[in-house]
Amino acid sequence: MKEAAFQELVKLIRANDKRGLQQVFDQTYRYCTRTLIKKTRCSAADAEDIYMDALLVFRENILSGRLTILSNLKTYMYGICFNLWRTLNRHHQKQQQFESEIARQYALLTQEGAEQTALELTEKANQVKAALKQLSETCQQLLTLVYLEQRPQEEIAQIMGFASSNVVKVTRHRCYKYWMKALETQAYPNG
Amino acid sequence: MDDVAAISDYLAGELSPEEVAAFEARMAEDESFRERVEAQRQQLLLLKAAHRADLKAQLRKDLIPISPAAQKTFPIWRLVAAAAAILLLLLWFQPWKSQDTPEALAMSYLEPYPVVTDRSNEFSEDSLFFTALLLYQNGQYERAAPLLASVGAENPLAKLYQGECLLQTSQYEAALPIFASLESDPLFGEAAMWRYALATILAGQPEDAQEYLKTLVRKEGYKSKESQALLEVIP
Repeated sequence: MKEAAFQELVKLIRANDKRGLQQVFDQTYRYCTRTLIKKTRCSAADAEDIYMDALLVFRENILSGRLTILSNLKTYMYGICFNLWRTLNRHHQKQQQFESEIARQYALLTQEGAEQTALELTEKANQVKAALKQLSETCQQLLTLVYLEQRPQEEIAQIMGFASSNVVKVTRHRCYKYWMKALETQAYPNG
Repeated sequence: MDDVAAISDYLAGELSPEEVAAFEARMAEDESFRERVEAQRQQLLLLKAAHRADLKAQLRKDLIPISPAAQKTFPIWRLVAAAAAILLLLLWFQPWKSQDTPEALAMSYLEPYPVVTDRSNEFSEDSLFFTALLLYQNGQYERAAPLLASVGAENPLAKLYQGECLLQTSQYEAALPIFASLESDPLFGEAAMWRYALATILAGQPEDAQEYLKTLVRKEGYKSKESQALLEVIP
């Protein structure tokens, strides 16, 4: 992939412009799913599911700044797909099934099976999400940018309109504490 | 710096290597501190898992229906063109009289139930059903059928599509109980009755189709004219 084209793609993805991931999808979906089916003998449904996971990983790698140079988009995307397939295959070999999308994502993030059931994980995930939603818009956005998208501090300062990275840090501490308090209130609603 | 701020820095990856070493040394010494860190790490992972699940559903909705590449991947126009060409060939070579038998007439009526779902609302988060529908739409009935079966017995539309997959792959006997179970469904009952009738005729038991065909004629709605035509050729 040409440097200028890649930088344009990065710009679109960082700006949450849908055209960015659509471009990746258009250029790689067919190749990745077909190669995955051919090489791993997985089903079309599994290949499609894995591809969508790979797209999320690709987005995270761009946002966090882990991916700064890219020579071949198709090969890179297929590499992510294959690694995800290997992780999921390990779970399948241990007879672990993912009964919810949250359980699947949790397993991919931790690279290991959870001791909790899918229902327990989903309930807990909904609790942490609900606690986050109790915070101000600013705190929600800031915690998302830091912990979920792992964007660099300077970029966060720019997006949030903060004067410096230091303001990001101080505000993050405050928001994180609010989130912890909201979680405690949920766990012990009667004090 | 207090503990919560330190933990938030550690989990954000914002500590220097020296600070990380000191932090992890404290975790090794202080069991309750380590537990707090692990609990918060898990909470963040759960939040991220939920965030990813939401994003994935959104991406499916945004990318797959509108993407030109998706069009290329699922070339429905080619299938339609091929189906039309086959139909023309059949019409060309087949004497009109052969349509007089119930089987031939039923065969001429055998067209897949259309994909009528609004994915963006109802099914965006149900990847299995969504994938099954893509396969179905692409004419890959053998692959779609087991996925539709696992979507669940509580979903009448999935059942209807599952039955249709069996019908399209000539597994008439297997399709019968599926259509029969939908007979009283308020939305898909008539479509299921029609398909049950076609399946029985194609399975060589046209007399079993009569009851449902008469019901459809009486209702004067879905496929009533075709039902009448079939009734006229059933001995």
